[in-house]
Amino acid sequence: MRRRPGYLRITLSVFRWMFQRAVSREYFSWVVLGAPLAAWLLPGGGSLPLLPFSVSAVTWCLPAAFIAGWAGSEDRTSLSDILSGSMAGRSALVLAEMALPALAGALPAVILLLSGSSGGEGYPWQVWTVAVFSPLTALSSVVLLERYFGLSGYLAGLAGFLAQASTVSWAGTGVFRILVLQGYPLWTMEWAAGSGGPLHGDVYAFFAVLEGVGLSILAFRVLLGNGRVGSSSS
Amino acid sequence: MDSSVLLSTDELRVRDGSREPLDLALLAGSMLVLLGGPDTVAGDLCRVLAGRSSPFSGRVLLGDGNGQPLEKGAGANVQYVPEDFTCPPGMTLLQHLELSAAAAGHRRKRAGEMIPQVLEWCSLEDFANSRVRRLPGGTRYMAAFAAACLSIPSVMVLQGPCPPELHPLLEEFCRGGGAVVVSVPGLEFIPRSADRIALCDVNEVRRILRFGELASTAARLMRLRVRFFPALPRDVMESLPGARDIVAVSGGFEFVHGGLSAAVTNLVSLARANSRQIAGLEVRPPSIKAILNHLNLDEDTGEADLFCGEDLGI
Repeated sequence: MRRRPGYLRITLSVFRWMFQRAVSREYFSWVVLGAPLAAWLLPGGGSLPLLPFSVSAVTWCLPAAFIAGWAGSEDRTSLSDILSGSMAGRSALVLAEMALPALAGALPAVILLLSGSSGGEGYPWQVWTVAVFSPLTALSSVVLLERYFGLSGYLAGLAGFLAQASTVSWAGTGVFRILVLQGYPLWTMEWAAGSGGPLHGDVYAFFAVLEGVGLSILAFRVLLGNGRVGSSSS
Repeated sequence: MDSSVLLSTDELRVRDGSREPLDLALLAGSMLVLLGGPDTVAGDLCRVLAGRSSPFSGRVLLGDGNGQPLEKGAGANVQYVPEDFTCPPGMTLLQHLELSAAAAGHRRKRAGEMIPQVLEWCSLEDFANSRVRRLPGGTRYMAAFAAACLSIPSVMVLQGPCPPELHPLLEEFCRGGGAVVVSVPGLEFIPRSADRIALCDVNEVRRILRFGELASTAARLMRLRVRFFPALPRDVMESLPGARDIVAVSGGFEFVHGGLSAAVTNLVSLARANSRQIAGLEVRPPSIKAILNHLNLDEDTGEADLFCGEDLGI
Protein backbone atom coordinates (compact mmCIF):
# COMPACT_ATOMS: atom_id res chain seq x y z
CA MET A 1 0.00 0.00 0.00
CA ARG A 2 1.37 3.39 -0.94
CA ARG A 3 2.02 5.70 1.99
CA ARG A 4 0.93 9.30 1.89
CA PRO A 5 3.69 11.85 2.33
CA GLY A 6 3.83 14.04 5.43
CA TYR A 7 2.34 17.09 3.75
CA LEU A 8 2.63 19.37 6.78
CA ARG A 9 6.30 18.59 7.38
CA ILE A 10 7.09 19.05 3.70
CA THR A 11 5.14 22.32 3.61
CA LEU A 12 6.95 23.72 6.64
CA SER A 13 10.34 22.67 5.29
CA VAL A 14 9.66 24.25 1.91
CA PHE A 15 8.43 27.44 3.62
CA ARG A 16 11.62 27.58 5.61
CA TRP A 17 14.05 27.13 2.71
CA MET A 18 12.05 29.35 0.41
CA PHE A 19 11.85 32.12 3.00
CA GLN A 20 15.57 31.88 3.82
CA ARG A 21 16.49 32.09 0.16
CA ALA A 22 14.16 35.00 -0.56
CA VAL A 23 15.16 37.25 2.33
CA SER A 24 18.87 36.59 1.83
CA ARG A 25 18.72 38.07 -1.67
CA GLU A 26 19.18 41.77 -2.35
CA TYR A 27 16.61 41.40 -5.10
CA PHE A 28 13.89 40.80 -2.48
CA SER A 29 14.05 44.31 -1.00
CA TRP A 30 14.24 45.85 -4.48
CA VAL A 31 10.95 44.22 -5.42
CA VAL A 32 9.16 44.73 -2.12
CA LEU A 33 10.22 48.35 -1.58
CA GLY A 34 11.59 49.57 -4.90
CA ALA A 35 8.62 48.73 -7.11
CA PRO A 36 5.99 50.50 -4.93
CA LEU A 37 8.31 53.47 -4.52
CA ALA A 38 8.81 53.69 -8.28
CA ALA A 39 5.04 53.58 -8.83
CA TRP A 40 4.57 56.25 -6.16
CA LEU A 41 7.13 58.54 -7.82
CA LEU A 42 5.59 58.27 -11.27
CA PRO A 43 3.28 61.04 -12.50
CA GLY A 44 -0.08 60.34 -10.92
CA GLY A 45 1.41 57.99 -8.32
CA GLY A 46 1.54 60.63 -5.60
CA SER A 47 -2.20 61.15 -5.83
CA LEU A 48 -3.02 57.51 -5.16
CA PRO A 49 -4.78 56.88 -1.84
CA LEU A 50 -2.35 55.26 0.60
CA LEU A 51 -4.32 52.26 1.85
CA PRO A 52 -5.57 50.99 -1.53
CA PHE A 53 -2.12 51.45 -3.02
CA SER A 54 -0.54 49.62 -0.06
CA VAL A 55 -2.94 46.71 -0.50
CA SER A 56 -2.16 46.65 -4.20
CA ALA A 57 1.58 46.69 -3.45
CA VAL A 58 1.55 43.86 -0.92
CA THR A 59 -0.73 41.63 -2.99
CA TRP A 60 1.59 41.90 -5.96
CA CYS A 61 5.12 42.65 -4.79
CA LEU A 62 5.38 40.21 -1.87
CA PRO A 63 4.31 37.11 -3.84
CA ALA A 64 6.49 38.21 -6.77
CA ALA A 65 9.51 38.70 -4.50
CA PHE A 66 9.14 35.20 -3.04
CA ILE A 67 8.52 33.31 -6.26
CA ALA A 68 10.71 35.18 -8.76
CA GLY A 69 13.70 33.05 -9.71
CA TRP A 70 12.69 30.27 -7.34
CA ALA A 71 11.65 27.71 -9.96
CA GLY A 72 15.11 27.58 -11.53
CA SER A 73 17.10 28.02 -8.35
CA GLU A 74 19.51 25.46 -6.97
CA ASP A 75 17.57 25.33 -3.70
CA ARG A 76 14.41 24.40 -5.50
CA THR A 77 16.22 21.81 -7.62
CA SER A 78 17.68 20.26 -4.48
CA LEU A 79 14.29 20.08 -2.78
CA SER A 80 12.82 18.64 -5.95
CA ASP A 81 15.51 15.95 -5.96
CA ILE A 82 14.64 15.02 -2.39
CA LEU A 83 10.89 14.98 -2.92
CA SER A 84 10.67 13.68 -6.46
CA GLY A 85 10.55 10.03 -5.42
CA SER A 86 6.79 10.12 -5.75
CA MET A 87 4.19 12.24 -7.48
CA ALA A 88 2.65 12.99 -4.08
CA GLY A 89 5.97 14.35 -2.81
CA ARG A 90 6.36 16.58 -5.85
CA SER A 91 2.79 17.80 -5.57
CA ALA A 92 3.39 18.62 -1.90
CA LEU A 93 6.46 20.64 -2.92
CA VAL A 94 4.55 22.61 -5.54
CA LEU A 95 1.59 23.26 -3.26
CA ALA A 96 3.93 24.53 -0.55
CA GLU A 97 5.92 26.77 -2.87
CA MET A 98 2.71 28.32 -4.15
CA ALA A 99 1.17 28.62 -0.71
CA LEU A 100 3.97 30.70 0.82
CA PRO A 101 3.88 33.57 -1.70
CA ALA A 102 0.08 33.49 -1.75
CA LEU A 103 -0.08 33.76 2.04
CA ALA A 104 2.68 36.38 2.04
CA GLY A 105 0.49 38.53 -0.17
CA ALA A 106 -2.95 37.76 1.19
CA LEU A 107 -2.31 37.97 4.95
CA PRO A 108 -0.80 41.49 4.99
CA ALA A 109 -3.54 42.63 2.62
CA VAL A 110 -6.22 41.27 4.93
CA ILE A 111 -4.53 42.89 7.92
CA LEU A 112 -4.37 46.22 6.10
CA LEU A 113 -8.04 45.94 5.15
CA LEU A 114 -8.99 45.06 8.71
CA SER A 115 -7.07 48.05 10.02
CA GLY A 116 -8.68 50.26 7.37
CA SER A 117 -12.17 49.12 8.22
CA SER A 118 -11.84 49.37 12.01
CA GLY A 119 -14.06 52.02 13.53
CA GLY A 120 -16.05 52.50 10.39
CA GLU A 121 -17.99 50.65 7.79
CA GLY A 122 -16.38 47.50 6.48
CA TYR A 123 -15.35 46.93 2.90
CA PRO A 124 -17.72 45.15 0.52
CA TRP A 125 -17.09 41.48 -0.25
CA GLN A 126 -15.59 42.33 -3.64
CA VAL A 127 -12.61 43.99 -1.97
CA TRP A 128 -11.90 40.98 0.24
CA THR A 129 -12.27 38.61 -2.68
CA VAL A 130 -9.87 40.60 -4.84
CA ALA A 131 -7.36 40.93 -1.97
CA VAL A 132 -7.30 37.17 -1.46
CA PHE A 133 -7.15 36.12 -5.11
CA SER A 134 -4.73 38.78 -6.39
CA PRO A 135 -1.67 37.17 -4.73
CA LEU A 136 -2.53 33.92 -6.52
CA THR A 137 -2.68 35.79 -9.81
CA ALA A 138 0.57 37.57 -8.96
CA LEU A 139 2.63 34.48 -8.16
CA SER A 140 1.16 32.49 -11.05
CA SER A 141 1.78 35.19 -13.59
CA VAL A 142 5.37 35.60 -12.38
CA VAL A 143 5.93 31.84 -12.73
CA LEU A 144 4.43 31.81 -16.21
CA LEU A 145 6.09 35.00 -17.44
CA GLU A 146 9.43 33.78 -16.09
CA ARG A 147 8.96 30.38 -17.70
CA TYR A 148 8.07 31.66 -21.15
CA PHE A 149 9.74 35.07 -21.37
CA GLY A 150 12.59 35.06 -18.83
CA LEU A 151 13.84 38.55 -17.95
CA SER A 152 11.34 40.14 -20.33
CA GLY A 153 8.62 38.51 -18.27
CA TYR A 154 9.84 40.26 -15.12
CA LEU A 155 9.83 43.59 -16.93
CA ALA A 156 6.30 42.97 -18.22
CA GLY A 157 5.14 42.25 -14.66
CA LEU A 158 6.81 45.39 -13.35
CA ALA A 159 5.39 47.48 -16.18
CA GLY A 160 1.90 46.25 -15.30
CA PHE A 161 2.41 47.18 -11.69
CA LEU A 162 3.61 50.67 -12.58
CA ALA A 163 0.78 51.10 -15.09
CA GLN A 164 -1.88 51.15 -12.37
CA ALA A 165 -0.69 54.66 -11.45
CA SER A 166 -0.89 55.85 -15.04
CA THR A 167 -2.75 59.07 -15.73
CA VAL A 168 -3.05 58.75 -19.50
CA SER A 169 -6.57 58.98 -20.82
CA TRP A 170 -6.91 55.37 -21.98
CA ALA A 171 -5.82 54.12 -18.53
CA GLY A 172 -9.33 54.84 -17.38
CA THR A 173 -10.97 52.53 -19.91
CA GLY A 174 -12.51 49.24 -18.89
CA VAL A 175 -10.34 47.16 -21.22
CA PHE A 176 -7.15 48.61 -19.74
CA ARG A 177 -8.34 47.92 -16.21
CA ILE A 178 -9.22 44.34 -17.03
CA LEU A 179 -5.87 43.70 -18.72
CA VAL A 180 -3.72 45.20 -15.96
CA LEU A 181 -4.19 42.50 -13.34
CA GLN A 182 -1.93 44.29 -10.87
CA GLY A 183 -4.40 47.14 -10.41
CA TYR A 184 -7.46 45.13 -9.32
CA PRO A 185 -7.10 45.76 -5.54
CA LEU A 186 -6.54 49.49 -6.06
CA TRP A 187 -9.44 49.95 -8.43
CA THR A 188 -11.82 47.76 -6.42
CA MET A 189 -11.10 49.81 -3.32
CA GLU A 190 -11.57 53.02 -5.31
CA TRP A 191 -14.90 51.69 -6.52
CA ALA A 192 -15.84 50.79 -2.90
CA ALA A 193 -14.95 54.33 -1.83
CA GLY A 194 -17.31 55.67 -4.47
CA SER A 195 -14.61 57.16 -6.67
CA GLY A 196 -16.28 55.78 -9.69
CA GLY A 197 -14.46 54.20 -12.58
CA PRO A 198 -15.66 52.39 -15.65
CA LEU A 199 -16.21 48.98 -13.99
CA HIS A 200 -18.30 47.68 -11.11
CA GLY A 201 -16.56 45.86 -8.24
CA ASP A 202 -18.27 42.63 -9.29
CA VAL A 203 -16.31 42.66 -12.52
CA TYR A 204 -13.00 42.94 -10.68
CA ALA A 205 -14.02 40.18 -8.26
CA PHE A 206 -15.11 37.93 -11.11
CA PHE A 207 -11.88 38.37 -13.04
CA ALA A 208 -9.74 38.13 -9.90
CA VAL A 209 -11.24 34.71 -9.09
CA LEU A 210 -11.15 33.55 -12.70
CA GLU A 211 -7.53 34.59 -13.26
CA GLY A 212 -6.40 33.52 -9.79
CA VAL A 213 -7.73 30.00 -10.22
CA GLY A 214 -6.93 29.62 -13.90
CA LEU A 215 -3.38 30.93 -13.76
CA SER A 216 -2.72 28.94 -10.57
CA ILE A 217 -3.60 25.73 -12.36
CA LEU A 218 -1.24 26.61 -15.20
CA ALA A 219 1.53 27.62 -12.79
CA PHE A 220 1.03 24.40 -10.82
CA ARG A 221 1.54 22.38 -13.97
CA VAL A 222 4.64 24.36 -14.91
CA LEU A 223 6.16 23.94 -11.46
CA LEU A 224 5.26 20.26 -11.34
CA GLY A 225 7.12 19.63 -14.57
CA ASN A 226 10.05 21.75 -13.50
CA GLY A 227 12.91 19.90 -11.85
CA ARG A 228 16.30 18.58 -12.76
CA VAL A 229 15.73 14.87 -12.59
CA GLY A 230 12.08 14.97 -13.38
CA SER A 231 12.36 17.01 -16.49
CA SER A 232 15.45 15.53 -18.03
CA SER A 233 14.59 13.51 -21.02
CA SER A 234 16.69 11.65 -23.45
CA MET B 1 17.93 -16.06 -4.02
CA ASP B 2 14.42 -14.94 -4.84
CA SER B 3 13.98 -15.15 -8.59
CA SER B 4 11.02 -12.79 -8.96
CA VAL B 5 11.32 -9.99 -11.48
CA LEU B 6 11.25 -6.56 -9.86
CA LEU B 7 11.74 -4.42 -12.93
CA SER B 8 11.64 -5.18 -16.63
CA THR B 9 11.80 -3.34 -19.91
CA ASP B 10 9.75 -3.82 -23.00
CA GLU B 11 11.31 -2.97 -26.37
CA LEU B 12 13.24 -0.15 -24.76
CA ARG B 13 15.21 2.27 -26.89
CA VAL B 14 16.87 4.84 -24.73
CA ARG B 15 18.14 7.13 -27.43
CA ASP B 16 17.13 8.00 -30.94
CA GLY B 17 20.21 6.25 -32.32
CA SER B 18 19.59 2.93 -30.53
CA ARG B 19 19.34 0.19 -33.13
CA GLU B 20 18.39 -2.80 -31.01
CA PRO B 21 15.58 -2.64 -28.43
CA LEU B 22 16.55 -3.66 -24.93
CA ASP B 23 14.51 -6.30 -23.12
CA LEU B 24 15.80 -6.46 -19.60
CA ALA B 25 14.56 -8.18 -16.46
CA LEU B 26 15.97 -7.26 -13.08
CA LEU B 27 15.65 -10.07 -10.58
CA ALA B 28 15.32 -9.75 -6.84
CA GLY B 29 18.73 -10.10 -5.20
CA SER B 30 20.67 -9.19 -8.32
CA MET B 31 23.00 -6.33 -9.12
CA LEU B 32 23.34 -5.00 -12.64
CA VAL B 33 26.19 -2.66 -13.48
CA LEU B 34 25.90 -0.31 -16.46
CA LEU B 35 29.47 0.24 -17.53
CA GLY B 36 30.00 3.33 -19.62
CA GLY B 37 31.47 6.81 -19.51
CA PRO B 38 29.53 10.05 -19.38
CA ASP B 39 29.09 10.14 -23.16
CA THR B 40 27.52 6.68 -23.30
CA VAL B 41 23.94 5.55 -22.86
CA ALA B 42 24.64 4.21 -19.34
CA GLY B 43 23.61 7.37 -17.49
CA ASP B 44 20.43 7.84 -19.52
CA LEU B 45 19.47 4.19 -19.13
CA CYS B 46 19.98 4.56 -15.40
CA ARG B 47 17.55 7.48 -15.23
CA VAL B 48 15.05 5.73 -17.48
CA LEU B 49 15.10 2.62 -15.28
CA ALA B 50 14.53 4.84 -12.25
CA GLY B 51 11.54 6.47 -13.92
CA ARG B 52 13.25 9.86 -13.89
CA SER B 53 13.26 10.41 -17.62
CA SER B 54 11.43 9.06 -20.60
CA PRO B 55 12.97 6.67 -23.14
CA PHE B 56 12.94 7.32 -26.86
CA SER B 57 10.55 4.37 -27.19
CA GLY B 58 9.44 1.32 -25.24
CA ARG B 59 8.45 0.98 -21.60
CA VAL B 60 9.85 0.20 -18.18
CA LEU B 61 7.57 -2.06 -16.17
CA LEU B 62 7.34 -2.75 -12.48
CA GLY B 63 7.58 -6.50 -12.07
CA ASP B 64 7.55 -8.75 -15.11
CA GLY B 65 5.97 -8.00 -18.48
CA ASN B 66 2.51 -7.91 -16.90
CA GLY B 67 3.41 -5.23 -14.37
CA GLN B 68 2.36 -1.60 -14.18
CA PRO B 69 4.35 0.86 -16.30
CA LEU B 70 6.83 2.85 -14.28
CA GLU B 71 5.53 6.38 -14.71
CA LYS B 72 7.81 9.39 -14.62
CA GLY B 73 8.08 10.49 -11.00
CA ALA B 74 5.83 7.74 -9.70
CA GLY B 75 8.54 5.24 -8.83
CA ALA B 76 7.44 4.64 -5.28
CA ASN B 77 9.47 1.47 -4.83
CA VAL B 78 12.25 2.39 -7.22
CA GLN B 79 14.64 4.86 -5.67
CA TYR B 80 17.26 6.85 -7.52
CA VAL B 81 20.54 8.19 -6.15
CA PRO B 82 21.97 10.90 -8.43
CA GLU B 83 25.68 11.41 -8.81
CA ASP B 84 25.60 15.14 -8.15
CA PHE B 85 23.22 15.17 -5.23
CA THR B 86 22.84 18.51 -3.44
CA CYS B 87 20.77 20.03 -0.65
CA PRO B 88 19.64 23.59 -0.02
CA PRO B 89 22.40 25.59 1.69
CA GLY B 90 22.41 25.10 5.44
CA MET B 91 20.39 21.88 5.45
CA THR B 92 21.82 19.32 7.84
CA LEU B 93 21.88 15.62 7.19
CA LEU B 94 19.24 15.06 9.85
CA GLN B 95 16.92 17.66 8.31
CA HIS B 96 17.47 16.08 4.91
CA LEU B 97 16.57 12.64 6.22
CA GLU B 98 13.51 13.99 8.04
CA LEU B 99 12.29 15.59 4.83
CA SER B 100 12.97 12.39 2.89
CA ALA B 101 11.09 10.40 5.53
CA ALA B 102 8.15 12.79 5.24
CA ALA B 103 8.20 12.40 1.46
CA ALA B 104 8.30 8.63 1.90
CA GLY B 105 5.15 8.84 3.99
CA HIS B 106 6.54 7.85 7.38
CA ARG B 107 4.87 9.34 10.41
CA ARG B 108 7.05 11.40 12.71
CA LYS B 109 7.35 8.63 15.29
CA ARG B 110 8.23 6.00 12.72
CA ALA B 111 10.73 8.36 11.10
CA GLY B 112 12.28 8.97 14.51
CA GLU B 113 12.91 5.25 14.80
CA MET B 114 14.10 4.68 11.26
CA ILE B 115 16.52 7.57 10.84
CA PRO B 116 18.98 6.52 13.58
CA GLN B 117 18.95 2.98 12.19
CA VAL B 118 19.71 4.17 8.67
CA LEU B 119 22.41 6.53 9.95
CA GLU B 120 24.05 3.68 11.81
CA TRP B 121 23.79 1.30 8.88
CA CYS B 122 25.43 3.84 6.59
CA SER B 123 28.02 4.81 9.24
CA LEU B 124 26.82 8.40 9.18
CA GLU B 125 26.05 8.91 12.90
CA ASP B 126 28.89 11.38 13.29
CA PHE B 127 27.57 13.55 10.47
CA ALA B 128 23.93 13.79 11.59
CA ASN B 129 24.17 17.49 12.39
CA SER B 130 26.66 18.39 9.67
CA ARG B 131 25.57 20.47 6.74
CA VAL B 132 25.13 18.21 3.75
CA ARG B 133 26.84 20.59 1.35
CA ARG B 134 29.97 20.55 3.47
CA LEU B 135 30.26 16.78 3.58
CA PRO B 136 33.05 15.21 1.52
CA GLY B 137 31.91 13.76 -1.82
CA GLY B 138 31.79 10.12 -0.73
CA THR B 139 29.96 10.91 2.49
CA ARG B 140 27.47 13.09 0.65
CA TYR B 141 26.78 10.22 -1.71
CA MET B 142 26.20 7.98 1.31
CA ALA B 143 23.77 10.59 2.64
CA ALA B 144 21.81 10.45 -0.61
CA PHE B 145 21.79 6.66 -0.38
CA ALA B 146 20.60 6.81 3.24
CA ALA B 147 17.73 9.09 2.23
CA ALA B 148 16.78 6.73 -0.59
CA CYS B 149 16.72 3.82 1.88
CA LEU B 150 14.03 5.53 3.96
CA SER B 151 11.47 4.68 1.29
CA ILE B 152 12.26 0.98 1.74
CA PRO B 153 12.65 0.51 -2.01
CA SER B 154 12.75 -2.80 -3.80
CA VAL B 155 14.99 -1.44 -6.56
CA MET B 156 17.82 0.98 -6.00
CA VAL B 157 19.17 2.79 -9.06
CA LEU B 158 22.46 4.58 -8.48
CA GLN B 159 24.26 6.97 -10.76
CA GLY B 160 27.84 6.22 -9.90
CA PRO B 161 30.65 6.05 -9.30
CA CYS B 162 29.69 5.18 -5.75
CA PRO B 163 32.20 5.14 -2.88
CA PRO B 164 33.75 1.76 -1.99
CA GLU B 165 32.24 1.86 1.53
CA LEU B 166 28.83 1.63 -0.13
CA HIS B 167 29.60 -1.69 -1.85
CA PRO B 168 28.97 -3.92 1.21
CA LEU B 169 25.70 -2.10 1.85
CA LEU B 170 24.58 -2.73 -1.72
CA GLU B 171 25.47 -6.39 -1.29
CA GLU B 172 23.43 -6.50 1.90
CA PHE B 173 20.56 -4.76 0.14
CA CYS B 174 20.60 -7.45 -2.55
CA ARG B 175 20.74 -10.22 0.04
CA GLY B 176 17.61 -8.71 1.57
CA GLY B 177 15.73 -9.31 -1.68
CA GLY B 178 16.26 -5.95 -3.35
CA ALA B 179 17.84 -5.31 -6.71
CA VAL B 180 20.48 -2.76 -7.62
CA VAL B 181 21.31 -1.01 -10.87
CA VAL B 182 24.46 1.06 -10.76
CA SER B 183 26.02 3.08 -13.52
CA VAL B 184 29.81 3.38 -13.35
CA PRO B 185 32.32 5.01 -15.69
CA GLY B 186 35.16 2.49 -15.30
CA LEU B 187 36.11 -1.03 -14.28
CA GLU B 188 37.66 0.11 -11.03
CA PHE B 189 34.26 1.25 -9.71
CA ILE B 190 32.41 -2.06 -10.19
CA PRO B 191 31.25 -3.59 -6.89
CA ARG B 192 32.49 -7.10 -6.22
CA SER B 193 28.96 -8.41 -5.78
CA ALA B 194 27.83 -7.37 -9.27
CA ASP B 195 26.16 -10.21 -11.15
CA ARG B 196 25.98 -8.80 -14.62
CA ILE B 197 27.83 -6.00 -16.27
CA ALA B 198 26.29 -4.26 -19.25
CA LEU B 199 28.87 -2.73 -21.57
CA CYS B 200 27.38 0.46 -22.97
CA ASP B 201 28.38 2.54 -25.95
CA VAL B 202 26.99 5.83 -27.16
CA ASN B 203 23.59 4.49 -28.18
CA GLU B 204 22.97 1.10 -26.64
CA VAL B 205 23.98 -1.79 -24.45
CA ARG B 206 26.42 -3.75 -26.55
CA ARG B 207 27.02 -6.79 -24.40
CA ILE B 208 26.16 -8.25 -20.99
CA LEU B 209 28.86 -10.20 -19.19
CA ARG B 210 29.08 -12.03 -15.90
CA PHE B 211 31.50 -10.62 -13.38
CA GLY B 212 33.95 -13.50 -13.89
CA GLU B 213 33.86 -13.17 -17.66
CA LEU B 214 34.61 -9.48 -17.48
CA ALA B 215 37.35 -10.02 -14.92
CA SER B 216 39.13 -12.57 -17.08
CA THR B 217 38.72 -10.44 -20.22
CA ALA B 218 39.97 -7.36 -18.41
CA ALA B 219 42.92 -9.28 -16.97
CA ARG B 220 43.98 -10.24 -20.48
CA LEU B 221 43.79 -6.64 -21.61
CA MET B 222 45.36 -4.96 -18.58
CA ARG B 223 48.27 -2.76 -19.52
CA LEU B 224 51.19 -2.73 -17.12
CA ARG B 225 53.64 0.12 -16.95
CA VAL B 226 56.94 -0.65 -15.24
CA ARG B 227 60.03 1.44 -14.52
CA PHE B 228 63.40 -0.03 -13.52
CA PHE B 229 66.34 1.45 -11.72
CA PRO B 230 68.81 1.50 -13.39
CA ALA B 231 67.02 1.46 -16.75
CA LEU B 232 66.62 -1.90 -18.42
CA PRO B 233 67.56 -2.42 -22.09
CA ARG B 234 64.62 -3.16 -24.37
CA ASP B 235 65.99 -6.51 -25.57
CA VAL B 236 66.09 -7.73 -21.96
CA MET B 237 62.55 -6.52 -21.41
CA GLU B 238 61.40 -8.39 -24.48
CA SER B 239 62.60 -11.60 -22.87
CA LEU B 240 59.87 -11.27 -20.19
CA PRO B 241 57.74 -14.43 -20.52
CA GLY B 242 54.15 -13.75 -21.58
CA ALA B 243 54.65 -10.05 -22.32
CA ARG B 244 53.03 -8.73 -25.50
CA ASP B 245 52.80 -5.43 -27.24
CA ILE B 246 55.78 -3.93 -25.42
CA VAL B 247 56.09 -0.18 -25.86
CA ALA B 248 58.89 2.01 -24.51
CA VAL B 249 57.51 4.89 -22.48
CA SER B 250 59.17 7.60 -20.46
CA GLY B 251 61.42 5.87 -17.95
CA GLY B 252 60.23 2.32 -18.65
CA PHE B 253 57.96 0.06 -20.62
CA GLU B 254 54.28 -0.57 -21.09
CA PHE B 255 53.01 -3.99 -22.07
CA VAL B 256 50.12 -6.44 -21.98
CA HIS B 257 50.31 -9.72 -20.10
CA GLY B 258 47.96 -12.69 -19.89
CA GLY B 259 47.87 -12.78 -16.10
CA LEU B 260 48.55 -10.08 -13.58
CA SER B 261 50.07 -12.21 -10.83
CA ALA B 262 52.30 -14.06 -13.31
CA ALA B 263 53.40 -10.74 -14.78
CA VAL B 264 54.40 -9.37 -11.40
CA THR B 265 56.27 -12.56 -10.50
CA ASN B 266 58.11 -12.52 -13.82
CA LEU B 267 58.93 -8.83 -13.47
CA VAL B 268 60.44 -9.38 -10.00
CA SER B 269 62.49 -12.31 -11.31
CA LEU B 270 63.65 -10.29 -14.31
CA ALA B 271 64.70 -7.38 -12.13
CA ARG B 272 66.56 -9.64 -9.73
CA ALA B 273 68.30 -11.54 -12.52
CA ASN B 274 69.54 -8.27 -14.03
CA SER B 275 70.39 -6.55 -10.72
CA ARG B 276 67.66 -3.97 -11.13
CA GLN B 277 65.08 -2.50 -8.81
CA ILE B 278 61.48 -1.98 -9.82
CA ALA B 279 61.09 1.78 -9.42
CA GLY B 280 57.44 1.90 -10.39
CA LEU B 281 54.65 -0.43 -11.39
CA GLU B 282 51.24 0.67 -12.58
CA VAL B 283 48.35 -1.48 -13.70
CA ARG B 284 45.99 0.28 -16.09
CA PRO B 285 42.55 -1.22 -16.70
CA PRO B 286 41.44 -1.53 -20.31
CA SER B 287 38.97 0.93 -21.73
CA ILE B 288 35.42 -0.20 -22.40
CA LYS B 289 36.07 0.28 -26.09
CA ALA B 290 39.09 -2.01 -25.88
CA ILE B 291 37.00 -4.70 -24.17
CA LEU B 292 34.29 -4.38 -26.79
CA ASN B 293 36.85 -4.60 -29.56
CA HIS B 294 38.37 -7.63 -27.93
CA LEU B 295 35.00 -9.31 -27.82
CA ASN B 296 34.66 -8.66 -31.56
CA LEU B 297 31.37 -6.94 -31.12
CA ASP B 298 31.76 -4.94 -34.27
CA GLU B 299 30.75 -7.99 -36.24
CA ASP B 300 27.83 -9.03 -34.07
CA THR B 301 25.56 -6.27 -32.82
CA GLY B 302 22.65 -8.57 -32.03
CA GLU B 303 20.29 -8.13 -29.13
CA ALA B 304 22.02 -8.22 -25.78
CA ASP B 305 21.66 -11.48 -23.89
CA LEU B 306 20.67 -10.14 -20.51
CA PHE B 307 20.32 -13.50 -18.82
CA CYS B 308 23.66 -14.80 -20.06
CA GLY B 309 21.93 -17.72 -21.76
CA GLU B 310 19.99 -18.86 -18.70
CA ASP B 311 16.42 -20.00 -19.15
CA LEU B 312 14.54 -18.34 -16.33
CA GLY B 313 11.20 -19.74 -17.35
CA ILE B 314 9.58 -16.30 -17.34
